Amino acid sequence: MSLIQIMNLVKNYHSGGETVRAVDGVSLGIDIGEFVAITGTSGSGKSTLLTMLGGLNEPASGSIMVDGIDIYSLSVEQRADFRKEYIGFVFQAFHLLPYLNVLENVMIPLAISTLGAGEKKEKAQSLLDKVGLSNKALRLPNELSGGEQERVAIARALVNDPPIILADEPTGNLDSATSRVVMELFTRLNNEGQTVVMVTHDEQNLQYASRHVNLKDGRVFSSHEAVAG
Amino acid sequence: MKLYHISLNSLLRRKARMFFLLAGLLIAVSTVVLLMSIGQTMNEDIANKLDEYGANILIVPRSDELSLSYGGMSVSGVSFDVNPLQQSDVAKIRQIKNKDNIKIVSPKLLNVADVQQKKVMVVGVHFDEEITLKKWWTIIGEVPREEDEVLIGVDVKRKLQLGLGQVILINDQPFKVSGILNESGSQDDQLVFIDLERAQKLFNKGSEISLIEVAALCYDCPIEEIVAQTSDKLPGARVTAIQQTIKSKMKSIHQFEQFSLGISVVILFVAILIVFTTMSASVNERKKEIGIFRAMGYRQSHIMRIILQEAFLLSTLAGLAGYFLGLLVSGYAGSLIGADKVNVHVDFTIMALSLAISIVIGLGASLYPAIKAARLDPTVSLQSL
Ligand SMILES: Nc1ncnc2c1ncn2[C@@H]1O[C@H](COP(=O)(O)OP(=O)(O)O)[C@@H](O)[C@H]1O
Ligand SMILES: [Mg+2]
Repeated sequence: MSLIQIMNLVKNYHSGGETVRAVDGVSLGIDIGEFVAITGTSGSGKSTLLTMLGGLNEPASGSIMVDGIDIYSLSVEQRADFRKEYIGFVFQAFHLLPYLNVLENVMIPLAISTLGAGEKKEKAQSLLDKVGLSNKALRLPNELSGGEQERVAIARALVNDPPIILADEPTGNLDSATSRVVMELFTRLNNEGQTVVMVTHDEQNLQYASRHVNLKDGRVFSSHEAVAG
Repeated sequence: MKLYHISLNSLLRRKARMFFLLAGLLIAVSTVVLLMSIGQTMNEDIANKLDEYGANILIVPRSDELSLSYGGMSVSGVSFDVNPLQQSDVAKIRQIKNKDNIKIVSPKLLNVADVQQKKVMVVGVHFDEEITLKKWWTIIGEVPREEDEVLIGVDVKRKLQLGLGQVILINDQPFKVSGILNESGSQDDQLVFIDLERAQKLFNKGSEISLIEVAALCYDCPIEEIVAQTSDKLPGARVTAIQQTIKSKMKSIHQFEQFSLGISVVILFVAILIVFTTMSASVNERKKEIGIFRAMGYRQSHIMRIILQEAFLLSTLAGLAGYFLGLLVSGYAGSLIGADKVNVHVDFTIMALSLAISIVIGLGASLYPAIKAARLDPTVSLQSL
């Protein structure tokens, strides 16, 4: 059984009297340990699919099963708990909180957990170590470079030990050298068994993924195993 | 790290906006405290002055007879006692419902007697009560302590040419002048005061008394109430309230309190608006941040907690600071309105009240923005992807 099973997923947006079908009948299975790259032109429905996968965006029809849970049969609050348990989000715009330092930003998902203060700090420290930023724990986000901020965002996504990392164009704001560092970090995590689903339209990034899913007008246009890189 | 770390840090980050909210609440709370303190000071002022006004209730026997006059009030039963008051009636006054408001009960026996061959009104009193009732009395010599000592008004002294220590005859009985009352401008100047029990013996009156003067310390309860209660206890007596200047003063205090209440309501309403708009704007500004929290697995209730915690922190601060600012300002304002003694002291009831007002407004007006924040669609908020 797949870790993620997407069945006939449909999403419509209504704006200005018009209805846009952003996702139009997507079915997809993703196994534990896969590194899936979702590609497609702008507006093809990649971000919509990803937020639905993360339990943030209710579909018009169809279903998503994660670890045997039909996540849209859950209540809104239960779905929040599901995200806390299963999902780590990484955004293109980093989305760090400017008024918290690096360590505190990594600890945001832990602020609602019952761990002790010491454990929380240790956990966040070890993840900063993992992304190579333990020496900048007390800096504010605006004192870091873009690549460093993205690595903080990745550490934050990992801090709850979620089985799934969802990343939406994580290198979209980075130059190619920095992109490579971030992609190598994702690869390392994936090699350690982390399931990663990443939206990208950077051809360079495809080489790191184990599977490519190409969307076109909200449908799966192609899905195939990548040639081992 | 806990949720309140996030609240606290976010407050420190948005200092300018939050300062606006804080200032709004603070000014509102301090104004209300100021008005309350002035009202309280005025009331305490009145309470302090009240006992300087002497008796405010007069009890005399019910009678159809025309009568002698005492203190500008008609006093019946001096010459023809239809149904005289008794010593035992004094205790009954102490048993009315509002007995705690009764401060002084001073029974009197009035008689016209021959003093050194002249007709003089002799009043039997309990000196200790009479002295507390008539705070304005100044006495040369001593207040009578023995049964055969007397206190005389200054007119009596002049007309009969008496001096301290002199022995005089009242209805042929010898008494010593132990004290002379300084000019008071009242009828007291023309009276001779002796001990009540001695007077009853002297005039063969048994345990009769002519009238009872009562000082009721009641600046916020209606004096009519006490009059009615006393009338019930003493059906054979006529109980009347003496009109005093204090009444008009009290009326102005009540008017001030009404005015304060009106102003306070308006100010608190403005404070609610300020908190509401500031919090709504703050939530709008933080849509993205809220989206991030939701993506990280925060429940809607967590979002509400973050917002309401911020409101709580600010309003607690504003409540405390507003209380002390109000107290400080009322020190100056009190002297402006002419309160004798401006009473700037920490009153924990008012402090608790101002804290409560601030927190209720702070949380209440933030509730809707907090609910709105919790219900934000995270995908829309995060749409800078
Ligand atoms: N919140 C929204 N409201 C209305 N239309 C939206 C919304 N989000 C996305 N869309 C539309 O849905 C389509 C897919 O968008 P999106 O999933 O963001 O595509 P991609 O990430 O591949 O660029 C686009 O046509 C976009 O304009
Ligand atoms: Mg997108």
